Amino acid sequence: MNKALQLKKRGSMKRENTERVVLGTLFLFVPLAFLIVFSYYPAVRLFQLSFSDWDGLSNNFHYVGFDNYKSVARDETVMHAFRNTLAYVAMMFVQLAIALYVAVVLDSKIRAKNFFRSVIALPFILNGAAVVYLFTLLYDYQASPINFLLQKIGLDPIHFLPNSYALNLSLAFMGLWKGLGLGVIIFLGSLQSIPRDLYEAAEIDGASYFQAIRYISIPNITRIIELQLFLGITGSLQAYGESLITFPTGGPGGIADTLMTRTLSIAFKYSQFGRAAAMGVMLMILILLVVGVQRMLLRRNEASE
Amino acid sequence: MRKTASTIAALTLLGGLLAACSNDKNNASGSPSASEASDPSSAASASNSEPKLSGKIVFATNRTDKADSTIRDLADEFEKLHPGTSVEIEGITDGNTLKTRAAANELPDVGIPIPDLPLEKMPDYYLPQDDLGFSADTISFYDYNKVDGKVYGIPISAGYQGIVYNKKAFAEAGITTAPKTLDEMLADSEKLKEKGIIALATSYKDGWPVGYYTATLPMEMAGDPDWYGKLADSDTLYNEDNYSIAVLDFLTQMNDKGYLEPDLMSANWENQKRLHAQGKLAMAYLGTWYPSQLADNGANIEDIGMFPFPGIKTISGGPDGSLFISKNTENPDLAKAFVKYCIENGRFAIATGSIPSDKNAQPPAYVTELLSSGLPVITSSPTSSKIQDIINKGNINMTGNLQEYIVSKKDKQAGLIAKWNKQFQDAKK
Repeated sequence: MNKALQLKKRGSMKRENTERVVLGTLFLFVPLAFLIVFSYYPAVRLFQLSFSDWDGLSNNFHYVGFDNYKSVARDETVMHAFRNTLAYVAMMFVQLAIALYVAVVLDSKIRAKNFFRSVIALPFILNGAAVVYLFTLLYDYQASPINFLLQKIGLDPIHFLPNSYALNLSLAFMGLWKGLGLGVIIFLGSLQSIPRDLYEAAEIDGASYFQAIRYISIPNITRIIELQLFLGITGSLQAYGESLITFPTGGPGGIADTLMTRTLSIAFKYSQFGRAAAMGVMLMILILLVVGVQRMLLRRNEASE
Repeated sequence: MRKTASTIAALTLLGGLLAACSNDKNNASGSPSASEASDPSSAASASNSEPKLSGKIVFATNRTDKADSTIRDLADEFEKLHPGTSVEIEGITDGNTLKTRAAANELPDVGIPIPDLPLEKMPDYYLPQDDLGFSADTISFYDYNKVDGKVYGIPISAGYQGIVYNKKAFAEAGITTAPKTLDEMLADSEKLKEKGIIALATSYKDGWPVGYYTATLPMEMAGDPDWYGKLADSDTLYNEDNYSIAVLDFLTQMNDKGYLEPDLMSANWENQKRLHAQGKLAMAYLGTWYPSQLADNGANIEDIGMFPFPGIKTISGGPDGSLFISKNTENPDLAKAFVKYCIENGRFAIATGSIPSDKNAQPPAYVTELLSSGLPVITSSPTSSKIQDIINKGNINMTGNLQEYIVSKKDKQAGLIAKWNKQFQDAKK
């Protein structure tokens, strides 16, 4: 090859690279700026505040070491809120199971598939607060249309919001109803990306429908199940809207408090932003731990298969 | 080709971003210069001695529900009376934004005050309004915002606490006079229950409506405006002397006998208003602001009455919002004229369905009925930081405590009181 031509080509390649770098930086600038300003900076401040006694208003604060962490760990209302939050985690597993079931059904050859898909996905696009209001109407002992129907057919009306732990399951169910659609869509998307010929081959080999699901569908979407678990656990540990709107005071004796609503009231009601920040950090560590354990378990499974 | 297109796209993106920034800057630097420009003109109009009002003011109100309707009408009438003036109405949903605006010297000309502003700080942000021609003789709670002999905010409406009742429900149960003692109230509740009417509403689930039983009712029973502040000096939060336990026990009794909503855990505010308006519910312990909401839910306002909670020594009352004029307003004369216009004859109060602070204006019948009891009216003292610090430090949730107490079994209740008092004592250390 001609040397001059080679040089020219290298020069143009160089120019191309510079252009690419400049272009990439330009495009990245906006999202990175947002990420730093709205995610990383607040996270760093959260750590800083968790060691302080800031009251949310004053211009200055004092560092108090690990006092906030100690007081949160000793606070029985926080433990109560944690137990309540576990109801949301439990409900999340139920939601995943239902979502997987619905996705498998919608993936098969049934009539009016698109109609069912849209109907199931619909709640997800509703405003979260509106969903909670809707459910408080349904859960109203006297005004609930469900209880009205039950009484019409001669049954006893239900206390949807009992004065017991089960109350948290009622609240978590609101999240299930709203979030189901997204779970179904994600599962359905991954199910449809499985090559059809796998199923055809299995059919020829005489595999039943359930065997096909067990040995083809599920193994092919473990990654997606893992993702859903990750999203579900982080989401349910941070549940707060259902509880906050239904029971603004946390309910009698904090019966409806979740970790998040407890954090919110410690910060904004009692002006203990330092303690609330410590709770935020502890929640973050908890989520990291859970996700870590989950990854380890799933990885081991994958290795053994 | 594609590369050029994407370069252009990126540059446009960045350009847009920068443009947005520069716009903001223009705005920020623009407003002070605009105010400088209009300052001389307002000074000139002031030196004209006779109040030929002109210019523009911004009026901030928290009554966003009426901001575009009746309040706008009121402002339109004012503008008609004073040609050349303009009143812009700004609905404030979150009062806390006023804190930021105060820090930037951008408070609205006229309107609600910065939330939780201590009395002594008022002169830093607001103009005195003693020259408006009002006095304690003509305006209820006139002295509420008085600092060093000057009034910084004039109450625009007044509010009183009491039991709001539906006269139709009372008539149906054969109750002719309002109960005067707690025993009479229990007896009347029984009559209401027999007719299938909920005697007393709590909106238990929503919490805040029962909040009135934690601080306001004991204060009315004690007849002491400092009731809440004095808790800080007490050894216990709940005791027999400060009426707090009496209130808890009374509500427990009401609940045990089935006089409250059938399912407290789902008893909510929206449903309460509906049932109360329909007469399926008889009483609720709330403020004079509440009957107009019943009217909004279809009640005939003549069917709604009020009486003091049985057995109290004083009625709790106070200004229900005051109007303040920003120290930095460019048109102080116009602002004052507008405040005067709103308060005189209770124009603003009537437009928003609240109780006029102007004593010359006729209050609604239910207010007259409530005050006809002749009990003295007291206004609770501003919250002292001492008690607030204890409440915050101990994370004491008096409303949540009340909710827990009234549904608990008798033998558990004493333990709860002991637990909460210990929580209180620990927080005091």
